[in-house]
Formats: sequence, structure tokens, C-alpha cells
Amino acid sequence: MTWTARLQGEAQPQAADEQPSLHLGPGRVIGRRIQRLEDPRLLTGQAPFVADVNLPGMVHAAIVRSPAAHGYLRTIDAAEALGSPGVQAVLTAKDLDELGVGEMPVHWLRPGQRNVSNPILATDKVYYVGQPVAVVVADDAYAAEDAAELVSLEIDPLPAMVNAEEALQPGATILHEEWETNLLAEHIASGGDVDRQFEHAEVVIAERFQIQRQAGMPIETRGAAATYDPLTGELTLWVSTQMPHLVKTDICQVCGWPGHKVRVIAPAVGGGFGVKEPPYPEEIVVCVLAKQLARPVKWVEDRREHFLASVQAREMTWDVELAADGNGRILGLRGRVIYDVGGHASAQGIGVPIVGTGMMLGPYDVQHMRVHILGAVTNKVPAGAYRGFGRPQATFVMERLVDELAARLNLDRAAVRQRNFIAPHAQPYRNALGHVYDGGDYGRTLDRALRQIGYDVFAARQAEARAQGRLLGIGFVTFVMEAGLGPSEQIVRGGHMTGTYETVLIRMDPSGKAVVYCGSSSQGQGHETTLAQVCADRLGLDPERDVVVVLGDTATTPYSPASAIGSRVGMVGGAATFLAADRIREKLVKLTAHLLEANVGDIEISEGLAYVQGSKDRALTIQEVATAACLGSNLPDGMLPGLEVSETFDPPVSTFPYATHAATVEIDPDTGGLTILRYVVVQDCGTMINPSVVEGQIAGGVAQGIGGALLEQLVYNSDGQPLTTSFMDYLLPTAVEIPDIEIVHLQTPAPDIPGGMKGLGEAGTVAPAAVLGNAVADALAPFGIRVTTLPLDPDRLWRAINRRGDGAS
Amino acid sequence: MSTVDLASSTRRVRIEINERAVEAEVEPRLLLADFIRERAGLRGTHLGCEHGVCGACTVQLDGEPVRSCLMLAVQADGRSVRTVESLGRGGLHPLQRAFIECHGVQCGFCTPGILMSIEPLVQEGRTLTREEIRHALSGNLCRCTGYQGIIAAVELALSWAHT
Repeated sequence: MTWTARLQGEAQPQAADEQPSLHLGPGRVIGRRIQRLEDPRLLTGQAPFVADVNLPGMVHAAIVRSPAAHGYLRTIDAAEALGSPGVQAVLTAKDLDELGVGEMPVHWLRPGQRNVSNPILATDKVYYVGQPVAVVVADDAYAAEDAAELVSLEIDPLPAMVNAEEALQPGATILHEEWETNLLAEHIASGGDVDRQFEHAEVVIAERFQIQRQAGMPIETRGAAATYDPLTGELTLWVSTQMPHLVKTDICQVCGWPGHKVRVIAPAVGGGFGVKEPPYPEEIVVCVLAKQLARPVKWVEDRREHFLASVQAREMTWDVELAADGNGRILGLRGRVIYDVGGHASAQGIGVPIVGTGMMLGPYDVQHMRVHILGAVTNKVPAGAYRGFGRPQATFVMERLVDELAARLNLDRAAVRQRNFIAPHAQPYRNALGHVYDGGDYGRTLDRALRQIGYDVFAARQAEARAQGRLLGIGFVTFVMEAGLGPSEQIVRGGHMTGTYETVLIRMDPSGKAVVYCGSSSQGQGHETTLAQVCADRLGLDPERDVVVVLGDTATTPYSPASAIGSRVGMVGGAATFLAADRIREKLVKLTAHLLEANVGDIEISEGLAYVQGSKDRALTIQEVATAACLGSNLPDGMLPGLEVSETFDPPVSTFPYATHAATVEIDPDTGGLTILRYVVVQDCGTMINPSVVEGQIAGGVAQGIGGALLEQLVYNSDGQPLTTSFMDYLLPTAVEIPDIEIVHLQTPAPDIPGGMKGLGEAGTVAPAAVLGNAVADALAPFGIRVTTLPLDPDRLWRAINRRGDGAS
Repeated sequence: MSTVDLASSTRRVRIEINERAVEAEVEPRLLLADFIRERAGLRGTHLGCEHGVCGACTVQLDGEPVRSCLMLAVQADGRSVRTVESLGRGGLHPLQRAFIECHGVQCGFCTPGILMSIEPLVQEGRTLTREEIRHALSGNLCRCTGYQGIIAAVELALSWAHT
């Protein structure tokens, strides 16, 4: 029995109303807990990751990085490195300039944004410790790293700016002098007339929240390997990325190379979580070097480099106010958030706080808000995507405010939420910022989660524990997120460089087997399995025996502008697969009717057969029908031979999956250590293609959220030196810290998406910080402590308990 | 700089890897992990941190799980190493089958190290509670699964070992 079955099957049987009520496909493959097709090669060590790419004559690159957080780069002396054993070349910005290589584009732009591209290697200034300055290439990685240490940099140091709020003060050290400010860009997320709401509010909760710098931290670091064929002029890059097609687009743009001569392959990728979303300078550099040296070049990031040069995330300071009436009805939200951008814009600009703030009012029927978003540069690693993309922060802020509102009015926290939820009959609901939700019953997820965790009896348990000096708390949060993202036109209008459609090509050959080609890539989400299930479902095939899914190779897959971001592959890729497979199915049905001399309407397809409804003896195998179609014999009038279909799906709308998370915790007053007693998730992600995959995504996301809430923090000192550059300093949760995660599914198919998927990948990460923040505030209520700062590590909790209510937490 | 001196002297080592002797002339500083990957050509052993925390590079040295990133190849001279490639020759190992059944794999990068950490417990037929399994896994970081499927897989494999 699997863990999911144990959690749901016996102990907590699903109510009948929670069973999927979907029209499943002819093969009934969508919705099945099949085993993952990816697993055997991963479990046997046979899956090739980028570090495993080895080619004859391959040389290895090591990156020389800035040791200073801020300063003028005066000289780079590579003479000693060039004389070091095995060294082939040293590359600097000057060389790139001579080769006509441009700058890395920023993909997310706001009007007036001051930073639209960034140098690949530092030119005259360095902005953070770890910024790439030069590249050394040698016969092996050890020799390259030795020689990289011999490259001597002369840097005139400047004062470091490590606090985004201070960076916006008058007189602050300016990083990019030509801007005359540290403000990268700003945006006002506004709807309704919020100031008016505050005028007649009976209660105003004003609070300042600080969320720490974190990072996605996949266990596989980044890496890239390139080879160039001088005879054909073709370049191939293997890269650990979420966006192979966009990496290719950037290479072509930055280097001026033609797209048909560049192939980018995302092989097995060991986790992404947003870190591997943007194309990176090192990826361009290995391509340039492979061409210049006419030898394959490989670079594999080490973990220390990952802490110095891969995008970081989450750091924001919020000053916000919530207005409500005396019954706890929320009237409006206003305030300001300062986003710490790091040394320069990452590919995502200030997209992260914009996306987070966009859904900040979540499940609540509130039509008035205004949040001023300011992105300030600091001398730290550029900040960008991390699973959740601003939503965990915004949810933490909003849900802490709601709990504080309930406490102020002495109302039950669940009751306040229920009072403010958008009613199911008010769907589709247009939120204050214009997002139109596609359905949702938020009260039901909250009820279900509270029932699961035993909210009704918790207060008594808590009181009993308190009498014994033990600190128990409960927290719960309901959220809605925008997923999938669409339509493309609207996303591009919003400032993102690319649209969000997906194209899927399905090819069937005379054997009756199908190959699905999708331009997205997988970093562990199981897309090969889920897309195979969708295809198999529509075509009456066995997903394990009859379908192969090809991902992440620009030479063989259709262009994919957004690939594996935004919780979109299951939904957008799934829908495109659904449509493409249905078109093949349509052709198989017509051809079968012709071959069997039956009516088209009477033909069914399932379990490898195409047959006349009700009489399985009048049947052909899919293989026989496919053979006829592919060989082009005995076709009905007007039917073209072949069984190959390409379908593009551009989501007409975004989808709005939602969930309630609830947790109980115990805090040790002597150590400040927190133990999660139970963690419950009630999730509606629309159609589940494979519930086991869904549960894996939820659990993984929750674990990352727990890490961010309790453990993880990237620390810089006042000189901008990073103090957390190993897993001994930056603590990821282990199996010991993560409790059993209890998952209950609701399943309301997305009305506008073929297949009904709503998207899920990021959902697990959105709530844990808010849930645990609320649980800690509840546990520490006797001390009068406000929970406003993350992480909730033992040090912070112990100080809060022992200082008794000075707001330190 | 002493690094150049380190590189200049080499030593011959002979390490038995998955019951095959691999001999090579190596720099004393060569990591066992790099020896396994680059000299023996066994790429299933992954490097996640190179400072002994994440556990992705775990292999067995004379039957004991070790971090191959914290060991030099010369330290393993004359000894016997098992890597993930040794599991399930001629069919998947029960532990591997349990990982498939319980969705214990997502990206799979940490997986070989976890298998090599846990396999001796399965071999010994140990009886472990869920909490003990959690502690047995605590030397291996996984960023994808939240450990749920992994814990279930270990539990299942241990239960099979008893039947």
C-alpha cells in the first residue's frame, strides 16, 4: 500500500462528494495512479544529467567570480592562469565584446524599468559577490579551478548596500550610477477605492512584515555542456534548465546565431523550482567557448557557486494595513512592499512581487486594494523565481493580518474567514485587480481541513497543554493562486517577454504506438508520465507500453516559450496533448468506420481496439487502423494519409486552483524548537491526471514551504559578504523535520481547459509560512507576541518567549 | 600556491567497484566520487554539494555507506566500493521497486545516494518504525518529494524483506 492510499484510503475515507465526477476518457487513464515512466532509469543511475555529458576532447570551464560585493573592476590579470598546466583559454568581457556577444536580456519589463539587459561577464563594475568576471578553460575541471584562483582581479571597493529599504533612502550609495537611484522599477497594484474604505473602517490592523532571502536550492546544481561542429556550423548545448527553448532564443539573440543551427537539450534535470527558469551567463559562455576553441566545453556549478550566483528569492519588506468593520468583514488592503532585487535585475525583473500581490486578496470578497511595489537593487545575488513566485510572501502577509483581525475583534479565525469568502455562487468572480476566477468553494476546503485536523477539539487540548506549561498552536490558511497563465497576449502585455502557450505534436506509426513531443522540460514533476496518460486516455492506449513522451530538446520538440514555469505543464501541456490526441482519435474513428463499413457515431476506441459499439467482434486493433492510415491504403474519400497531429493550446484564461492548509505545532519553551504535529492539505487542482503525482507535488511544495518558514535564510554581512554558502549554513529540511502530510482532494474540473486541469506545481509552497506563522502566533498567544518575521527558527522563538511580548518575533 | 605541487605527483590505485577492479594513476587529491564517475565511468553517483551534507554521492565502502565526495580515491585503494549500478543487476532490487510503487522518485538526482544509504538496512532485514526510518534518511537531502514517498518506499521494502 502506498502512503497516499494509507492516508486516504482507510483512516480518512473520502466522502462520496469528493470522488472525481469526471467524464474520463475512453481508456480511463486520466486519473489513474500509474507508476512513473521515468523511474527505472533514475533508480538505476542511468539517466543522463548534464554533468554526465562527456564528449571526446572535452575541456572544462571554471568561473572567476567577484570577491567583492560592490566596486570598480580595474584590471583582470590572467597571465599566471594562462601559464598554468592544462589551461586552454581565459575569457573576459573584453573578449566577448570583440566577438560581438551582447548582453543577457531581462525577460520581464515594467514601464520605466531601468535595467533591461545585463553583461555576461562584469565590465567596469561588480555588483555582488559571485558575479561572473572571467572564465578559465582547461583540460580538466581540477586544472580549470586551480587556474581560476590564479586570475588576479583589481577591484576598487565601494560601500555595499545590503538593505533594500535603505537603498531607497536619500543619500544611499547608488549601485548603477547612471540610474541616479536604486529603484529598478515600481508598480502599483490597485483596484477600487481603498482610501474611502479606510475612512469608515471600524478596525484597522497595521503591520510590518519581513520575509527573508531564500532559494530554491535543487540538489543538482546548474551546469552546461556545449559542442560546435565547424563543418556544419551547428551548436548543441546540454543545459540543466526549465526553459530549453528560451535558452536557445537567448543564445541566438545574444550571440547573433541563426536558430536552425542551435540545438538546446535539457537532459535529466535534478530539480528546478524556478532557479533554473532564467537563462544564465554561464550557459552563453560555454557556447561561445565551444565555438571559439572548436572543442566541447563543460561547466558544472559547485554548491558554493550555487550560493553565489544562482537566483535567490523571497526577500521582501511589507508595510500594510487591513481595514474591516466591527464584524470582521474585510473592507480593504493597502500598503507598500519593497522587493530586494539584488545586484541587478534577474530575468524576472520585479515580476515576483507583482504576481504575488496580484492574488493577495485570495479567496476573500474584497474589492478595494492598493499596494505599491518597489524593486530596489542591493549588493546581493540577483533575485528571481522560486516556486510560489511571490505568493508565499503575499499569503503570509494577508493571512497573518486576517488572524490579527480575528484576535483584535475576539472572533473565531475560521468564522472570520468564512464571513469573507467569495460565495461559490458568485463565481466566476472578478477580483479587485481584474483576475477572473474560474470557480471555487473555499468554505468547503476550510471546513474539510478543520474537520480533518480536529479544530473543534483543539482548543480544549491546547488549554490542557498550557496548564502543563506546553505550547500548542493551530494555524490554517485558504488561498487561491493564478496558474497556467494565459492568454499569451495578456501575459505579454503584462510585461513578460514571452507568451504562455504550448504546442504538442503526436506521431503515431504503423505499429499503433504514439510519441508525444512537447517543448517543455521536466525537472522531476513526472511530465513524461502525465502527458503519456493524457495521450493514452484519448487513444485507448496503455501509457506504459504504447506511449513515449519526448521533452526538452529544441531540435525535436515544438517551440515552447514558457516551458516548465508557472504550474503550467500539466494544465497547458496537458490540454495541448488532449487536443492533439483527440484529433488523432477522430481520424482513427473515421477510418475505422470506413474499414468496418459502420457509422462513425458507432465507433468506440479503448484498450487498443477500435470497434463498433456493442459488438466487439466487429473490431480492428489500433495497430491495424494506424497501419492503414500511415501506409495510405484504403482510406475514405477526402482523408489524407498519415497520423501526425500538432495542436497549440493558448489558455484562454488563467486557472485558479485553491486549497486550505492546516497545521498543529508544539513549541518547546526551553529551546524555541518547533515540532509540526500534523499538517493537512485540502486541495482542488481540477482534474488530477495522476493523483500520486499530484500528491508528490503537494508534499514536495509543502516541505519547501516548511523549510522557508522554519529553517532557511540566506545571510549577508554589512559588507555584502554572503555568510551562508554551504548546506551547513543554509539548512534544508531533512526527513526528520517534515511530518506526514495528509492530503485530501477536491476535484472541480477547470471549465475552460480541455481535460479540466487547473495546475498545481507551486501550490504546496504557497501556504506553509502563513500556516506556521498563524500556528506559532496561536501557540504564543499568552505571551502577546506578534509573528511578523521569518524564519521562525528556534533562536527567534526562544527570544520571543523569553522577552515576553516585545514583538521581537 | 601548493595546488600545482599536488597535481604533479600521482599514485596508482586499484579499487574494486561493483566487483570489477578499476586501476588508474591518480592525483592524490582526486575525490573518490570523481574516480567513480570519470575513471570508472559510473555516472549514477551524483555530486550535490561536495561538502558532505546532501548525501547524493553516497556509495558503500566495504559495505558501509560513505560520502564519496569526502573521500579521496587514494583512501579507497585496495578496498571495495558498491555504487547504485550494482543494485538490481538482472531486474530491479526490491528497494528500487518500492521506490517506483510509492512514488519515491521525482527528479531522481538524490535517489542513488538514498538507495545506497538504505540498502544495507533492507539487506539486514531490519525492523524500523517510521521515526527510525526518518532518522535513517536524515543524512540525505531531497528537495522534491517532501520525503513522503521515500519514507513509504523504505517502509515497504523493509516489510518485503520480512516476508
